[in-house]
Amino acid sequence: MSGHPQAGPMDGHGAVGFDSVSKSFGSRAVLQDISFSVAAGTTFVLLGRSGTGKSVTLKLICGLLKADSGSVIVNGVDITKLESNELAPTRRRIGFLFQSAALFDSISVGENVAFPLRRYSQKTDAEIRDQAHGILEQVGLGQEYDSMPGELSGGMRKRAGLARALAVDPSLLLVDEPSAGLDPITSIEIDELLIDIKTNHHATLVVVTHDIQSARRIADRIAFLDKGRLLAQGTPEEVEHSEQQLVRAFMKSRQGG
Amino acid sequence: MLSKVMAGAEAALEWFGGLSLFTGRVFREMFRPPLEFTEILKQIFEIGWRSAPLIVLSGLAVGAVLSMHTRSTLERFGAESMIAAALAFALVTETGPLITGLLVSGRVGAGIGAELGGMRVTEQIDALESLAVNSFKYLVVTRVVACVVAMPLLTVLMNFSGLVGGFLAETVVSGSSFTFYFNTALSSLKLSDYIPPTVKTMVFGFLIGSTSGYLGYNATGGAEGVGRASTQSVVLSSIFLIVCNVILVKCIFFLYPGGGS
Repeated sequence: MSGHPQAGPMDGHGAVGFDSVSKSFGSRAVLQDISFSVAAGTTFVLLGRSGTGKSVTLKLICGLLKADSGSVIVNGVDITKLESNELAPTRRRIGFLFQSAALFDSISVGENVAFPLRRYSQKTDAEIRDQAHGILEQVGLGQEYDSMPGELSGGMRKRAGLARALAVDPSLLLVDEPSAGLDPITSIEIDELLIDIKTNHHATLVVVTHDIQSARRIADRIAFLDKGRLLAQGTPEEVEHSEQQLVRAFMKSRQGG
Repeated sequence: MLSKVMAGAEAALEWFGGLSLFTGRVFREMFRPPLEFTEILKQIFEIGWRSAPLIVLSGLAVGAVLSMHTRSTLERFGAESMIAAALAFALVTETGPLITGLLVSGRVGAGIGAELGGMRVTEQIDALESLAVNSFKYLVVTRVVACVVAMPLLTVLMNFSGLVGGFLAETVVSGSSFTFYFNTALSSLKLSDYIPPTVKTMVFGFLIGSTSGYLGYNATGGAEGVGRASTQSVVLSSIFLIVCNVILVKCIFFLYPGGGS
């Protein structure tokens, strides 16, 4: 598989498919003719050095950015053909954990989690608070409902961001650099949470990281991006034995650390 | 040299073009559901109610100062009995609306620019979009509407505070009674003196909300970009407000000859 990095966009029953997607900012080409597919219920990890287009890929999946060419298929819908006001139904089934967690800093942690529930459910205020509290307990933040985001540590912010992403009961969870800025133990805890979410929520996960150890822990499949091109994709073992020297060097460079 | 001037002119035109498209979108989205009533009420509270202490204090001070100036001028002509009427006319037709606009532009314009700019650079706006929320409507339109609603109310508060400040200054000097002072002040005003200048502050509110919203919503460049958005919000919305005021006053004189501001 690692020798065929540009696999078909929707091989099998894909939750996400990229078909010859390109994206530029001005004269800078960030993604060039990228194709891959992510099977439903699996964890797909995008690896690569900083600035290679990993986060842009996540934003394309969520429709926060629009591809210059190619198709981005999410749960069977080509979102490149939708106007921004038509994206809402697709987005309601997507959870997004941003690199900085992107918690709304003017409301409490609990209200961050309750935010999508208040907008999209018909439940009473008490029911919404209970549900938000339950989700926070699930990520180990049951005591932090009334805390403000600014009072949380980096790891706690990631957990809170994850809780908010889970509130929409996502079929697809996008995770940007889950271990960035965290100590190794907290990083492992976040990875375990992601594995738990995949298992218990039957969600599809697309995770962007440059942490090899984290990728090995959580990935069913890995893709390696470099300078906007997909150099390799396959299972973690297949990518480690890629024909591409850069990919092998990257995987090896972090093996011990 | 010429190429620099051309580049500057092109950048300015591009900026104004962006602002025009932005304000056009504000109008379009304003009437499209969901109307975000809860968020609009919250913003009216933030923009209107929280500005009230500043407006009341400034109104008291402006009224007192205007009263002292009016007295010193009218005394020369033996027209002290006209002090309350002159003060009310000056306040209601021009001073109140303009000072309210500039104060709100400083407090609210900076706040909107900094808040939206901060949300943009920390990906909170992307987070809203990822939760299927129309961030433009939720953040920008609600604030513009709140500014439009809050400005006339704050102007009424400014005018009333100004009259109270004027009364306090006047009563110290002449011992004028509250009833006499307010009767004299209000009986001299016609509706056409009062309504058009107050209504024109809705335009001020729109200018403040949309200019600071545009700068904050499109902020780039981290903390420095947020600071820039905040500062430019105050400066540009104040300039637009002052320039627009000239046009609006001219329109009011045209529509209400001999009345209004």
